[in-house]
Amino acid sequence: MATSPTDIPLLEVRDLETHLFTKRGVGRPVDSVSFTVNARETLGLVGESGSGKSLTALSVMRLNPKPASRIVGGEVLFCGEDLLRKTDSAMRRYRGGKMALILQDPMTALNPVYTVGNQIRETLRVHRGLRGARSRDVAVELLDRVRIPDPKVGLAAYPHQFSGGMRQRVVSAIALSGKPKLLIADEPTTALDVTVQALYLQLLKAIQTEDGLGILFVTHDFSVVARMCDRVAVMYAGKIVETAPTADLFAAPKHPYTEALLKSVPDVDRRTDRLYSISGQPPSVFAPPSGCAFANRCSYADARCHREMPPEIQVGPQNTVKCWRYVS
Amino acid sequence: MSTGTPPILEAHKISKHFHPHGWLRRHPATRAVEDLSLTLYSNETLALVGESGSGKTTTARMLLRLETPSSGSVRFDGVDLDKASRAQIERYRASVQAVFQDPWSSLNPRMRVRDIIAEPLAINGIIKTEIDTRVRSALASVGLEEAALRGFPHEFSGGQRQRIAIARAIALRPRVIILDEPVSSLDVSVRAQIMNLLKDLQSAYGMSYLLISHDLATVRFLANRVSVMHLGRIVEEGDTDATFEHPSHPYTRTLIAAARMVRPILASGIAAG
Repeated sequence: MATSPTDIPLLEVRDLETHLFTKRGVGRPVDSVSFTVNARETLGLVGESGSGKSLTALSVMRLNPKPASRIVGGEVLFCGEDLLRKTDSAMRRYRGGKMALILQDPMTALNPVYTVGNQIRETLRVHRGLRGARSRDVAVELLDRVRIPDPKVGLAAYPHQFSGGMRQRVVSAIALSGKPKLLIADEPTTALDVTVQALYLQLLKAIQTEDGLGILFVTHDFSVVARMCDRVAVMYAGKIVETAPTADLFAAPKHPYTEALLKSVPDVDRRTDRLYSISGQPPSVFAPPSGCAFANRCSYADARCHREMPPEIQVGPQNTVKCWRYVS
Repeated sequence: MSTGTPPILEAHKISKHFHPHGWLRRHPATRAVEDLSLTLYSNETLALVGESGSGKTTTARMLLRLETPSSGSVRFDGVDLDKASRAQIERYRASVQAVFQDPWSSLNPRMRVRDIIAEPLAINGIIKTEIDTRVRSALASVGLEEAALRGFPHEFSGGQRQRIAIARAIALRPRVIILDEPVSSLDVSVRAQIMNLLKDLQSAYGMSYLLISHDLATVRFLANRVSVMHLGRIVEEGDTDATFEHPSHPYTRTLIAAARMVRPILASGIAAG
């Protein structure tokens, strides 16, 4: 593949539509989603369960569950090339090669009956054609990079012999083994303890700097966003409702949903009598309202919000929001 | 809170050792909980915090008699449960309820919501005519509509299911509820709703909570007192505010520091709202 000029983003997703086909009808869990991830940058994709964030991430890799869901529109441009037009075998070279995926639960991501060495060397063989002593050496290097103590011994160990944090490091070593440019991480720290989580995020950051990785970081946890992400895209009911650099998002959230979410996070350093809470629930993906999906829970909503879908408004150099309040 | 009132639920030097079976026998026993004592007074919330593997859930299970302590005793209203009469055990069972982490597995998928909430009432001999009223009032207290009674658990969202689990726990008007990570599987917005609800129910019914949690922000919001567990032992205990402001054990400091990392940026956002 030709090396991309600097002005082309590493990953550009345009108007991605993934539909869900069930007995209840056709749902739109990913509804015209657009975002970019540049090299050396971490974009946080934040949302609550059912917002479509994981399905968006899986759709980028074309790993969305089939036949229950299907990508029906949009473009996924990886270094300028549309992945949605690739053949299945070309896609297999991308996955684990140029782009890698880290999932929430490292125990289910790893095969319990093969050694860690076996699983790392499988990727090295498939994506880099390494075999024998050479693949062994590279595997040791990889385990060393993710700070597994005594990597030579680690190669012969089975996943159950590692703790949760160490297992997630092994998964990361496998993800890095194909020398990816883009890492998609779906809630990689949710199953880890707080202290372990902090160490893992530090490691991920260090590796990102060394390799110039672009990371799409899917999470529901704002503390992880604050520590890890350069920019954030907030998802609600299948749509991105706000994008902003992380500091801007925390300092001055624009979308009422973002604002409400941030207010409802309890604080370790202060005792409060009551937490702010958002009443109601997000609409079903099978029956989206005609207007803004957040309108029925929003304290600012007026008649237009319930009637018409708000457009996307540019409110800063890297800030967009979908809300009628910003339409003059 | 602790002044003068007699304790309701006490653990006195309880330990739990798990002995491996079969070919694993040569491995040493896992000492999940070691010589742990705690006391729960009326109308208070005591939090047990620690990371996975610290033994907090094992402790909760021993307090619920789902696990027998290897040594030590659990006392309810001053009575050692190992020496208690059948009537005393029944009274304890009715007075100590639990809400677990995962509302997807703690509710029987084949039962309707009405039957889920009614089951503990029927078991504890509440007369049939009264069960219906009690079920309805429990459901109303957790903020669910009456139409929910006929539904099955899968028809509800995570937050609604946790409300159903709470309704089941309060239906018997217990004196103690053991909350094992009650909000950690819920979304941020729903989490706030459930945390407020737990607080409201406590002031309405005057129950005691034993809160098991790894999330210090949840603990700060709900608990009056906190016990920090590490490797099966309590390493620090005290008033929540005092412990959070001046932690003395290094492990407590590590936990608070890890939870606090996000704060500097978040503070301004919250202050605005």
